[in-house]
Amino acid sequence: MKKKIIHLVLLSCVKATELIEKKSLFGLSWIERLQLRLHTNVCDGCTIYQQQSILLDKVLQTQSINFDELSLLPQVKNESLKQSILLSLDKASD
Amino acid sequence: MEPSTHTSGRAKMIRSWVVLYFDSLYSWAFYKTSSKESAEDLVQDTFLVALKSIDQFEGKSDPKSWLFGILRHKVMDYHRQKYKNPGIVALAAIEGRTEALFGTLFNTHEEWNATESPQPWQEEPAHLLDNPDFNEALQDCLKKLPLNWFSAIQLKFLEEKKPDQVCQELGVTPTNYWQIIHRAKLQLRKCIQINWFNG
Repeated sequence: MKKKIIHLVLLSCVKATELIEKKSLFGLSWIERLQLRLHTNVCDGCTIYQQQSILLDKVLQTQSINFDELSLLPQVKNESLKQSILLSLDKASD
Repeated sequence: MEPSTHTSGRAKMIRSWVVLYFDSLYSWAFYKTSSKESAEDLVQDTFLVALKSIDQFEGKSDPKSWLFGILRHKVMDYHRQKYKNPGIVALAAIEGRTEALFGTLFNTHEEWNATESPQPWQEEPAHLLDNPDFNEALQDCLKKLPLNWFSAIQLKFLEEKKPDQVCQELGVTPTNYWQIIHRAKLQLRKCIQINWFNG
């Protein structure tokens, strides 16, 4: 019961991490921002979660938007598909 | 110009683009879908669309960005479908995954379990961004997500539109969307912690 009352003010970690993800998509209301700040002030786990969540977003963002950044990942080949597309284009240009 | 020569010229142009750009297009599609079959379909479709609509290209941008633009829209469509219709079997499995995830990470008071509480990653964020091994570890973890969580994450970063609009087009509520992103990110972070930092 006591925990429930504390969580009304300070949020639970489930709720706090929810708000962290909601924030990066839709933003938060001022009351939600305040609640999240109060929570991360006293919770190391959620503070670290927030930093790492933002970092993961950055990596994912880079991988999605900037195609050349994918050179960070090993190139995946599919020679048989490439050849079959080339072959069908050769037929089309005959 | 004879119509046939016209067609043949277009096919030759596309052919040269296949030679130049196939590998990067295919690679990107593969990482964005985590599926060989889907990547094959999407890249094939991309060149087909390019062949049909090459008149709209007119050299306005460079061919590589033009092709990537087509592929990117195809990949977005793919994820919208996966997100909206994960299938009944997949849905049941996801239900189980969600319960297991929250049960592992948090105690009954919804606080981090001592062993699961996020630990600092002993490396500068800037270094991680540029680290190929870290990027690869993240790809591995993405692959392990349930399909519609994976699609939710991909859509978040592929879409240029505002998330509200994305939800509207998907016919889902914003709450539904960020809750799925929440689950996916919890899972993803945990996976990275284990695979990369052995935490």
